[in-house]
Amino acid sequence: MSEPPQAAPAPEDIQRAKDRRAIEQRRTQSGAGLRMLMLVLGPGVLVFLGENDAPSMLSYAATGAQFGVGFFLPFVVATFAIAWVVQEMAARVGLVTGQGHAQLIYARFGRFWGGFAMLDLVAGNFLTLVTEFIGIRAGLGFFGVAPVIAVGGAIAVMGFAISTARYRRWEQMTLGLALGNAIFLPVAVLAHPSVPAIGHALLSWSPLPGGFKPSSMTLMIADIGATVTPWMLFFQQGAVTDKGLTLRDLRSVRLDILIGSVLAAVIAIAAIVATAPLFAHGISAGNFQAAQFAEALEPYVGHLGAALFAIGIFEAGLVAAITIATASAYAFGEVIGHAHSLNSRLRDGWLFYAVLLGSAASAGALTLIPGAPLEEIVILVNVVATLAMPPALLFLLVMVNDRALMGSARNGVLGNVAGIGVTVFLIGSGLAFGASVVAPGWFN
Amino acid sequence: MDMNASVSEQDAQFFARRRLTVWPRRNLSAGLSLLFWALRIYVVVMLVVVVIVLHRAAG
Repeated sequence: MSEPPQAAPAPEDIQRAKDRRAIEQRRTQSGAGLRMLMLVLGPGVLVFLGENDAPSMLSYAATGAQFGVGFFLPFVVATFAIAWVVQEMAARVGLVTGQGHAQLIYARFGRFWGGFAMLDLVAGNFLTLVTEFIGIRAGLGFFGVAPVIAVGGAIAVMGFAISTARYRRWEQMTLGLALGNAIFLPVAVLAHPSVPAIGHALLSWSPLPGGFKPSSMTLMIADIGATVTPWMLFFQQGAVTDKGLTLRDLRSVRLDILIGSVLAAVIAIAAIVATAPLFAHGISAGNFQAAQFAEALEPYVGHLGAALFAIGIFEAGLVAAITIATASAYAFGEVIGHAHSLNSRLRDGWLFYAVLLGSAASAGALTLIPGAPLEEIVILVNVVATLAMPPALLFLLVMVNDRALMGSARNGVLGNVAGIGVTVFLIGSGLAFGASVVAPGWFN
Repeated sequence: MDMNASVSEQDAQFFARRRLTVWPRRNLSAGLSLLFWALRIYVVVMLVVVVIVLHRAAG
């Protein structure tokens, strides 16, 4: 590696050093564990609640409505366990190197493979951003808010969050919004679920109602894509770097990721439970969109429950739009070598902020085109994320095993078994999905 | 550099050095290159499958 002999600190380095200093001061205080965790907490929770986005929540809602709770509750728990393994590796690379995911891929694998990684990321992120704005529109549309106000308002919130030019304030604001994801919990309660049935589902892993058919394969793949996607790697690594975290924080960072994954799993389960009454009453909801779900749920969860569901879809779309656009901006800035930090002053990082807001604004504008056939991609966007994941995981696995990069923090045997296992599982799931489409007769 | 009193030059230097370090390109073994190509083809084939699904949904 070539280390700069005397690098002039940029404003973002000073801000990171301030955050670092605050963590080190906490570390020396008595009873520091929980208080230090509160300072480190953020990237992991944000990435998971960000990934509980509009298409993911709709995917979970469709799952509950079509298949009830039996098979999918433990399945969702398993997918979040997979996501923890993946995010921990991405975070560890960031903690050790202090560099973003895209920057390292370009440096270690060259422009050719880096270009492919960026192509997957940019295409996936843009498609996902479009679906977030569909969620924002549909969620607020339940209350009669005009689409242009819903989309414009969401972009204004994003602009406000970055206007502080300070990662820590941005994180606090976005975390505050992200905790609103818990709104699906009261909706689940209003659906009067059977607690023993949920407990039984989680402990017994019942067979899939109707067996493995093409439609169930699509939802399974969509639910996997609702927990592991390429943008999460770029965001996780970029955020721990931007926050000034180092390998000394590994334990707290692992806890942050664990808390995020548990919170997101509980909320995902709540969305499945909330829509399970549609399954119980034999209502076909395979092609429902956000507003239709809220309306269909109203007889079972009341107007309050339907309204909360609609707010939940709006909130999920908003938080994901913020985090996904940030992941795109991190990657773009890292590749072109421009300032790429939420700690950058607006005049230094104008291109970074322009990509962040511009990608969101262009995706939002697309959803305002009258009659644009965008609804079809809402569930499929998670499918695409799952299918794009194996190459992203291979980059990650090679980097996390790279002795020059990682030193003693590289993957151990257990980490590699888990990482390779996840990659093989995702490839197998993708192939099964492909087979269910090309040869549906095999699944009947 | 107008350094905040609570942060030393050394602390900020540490983050600047991390940010600006340039890692050299690594050599990809033939096996690894093959794996990357295989997964690239996998993604392309799977995207064709997604297009088929979209086409059927539109029809």
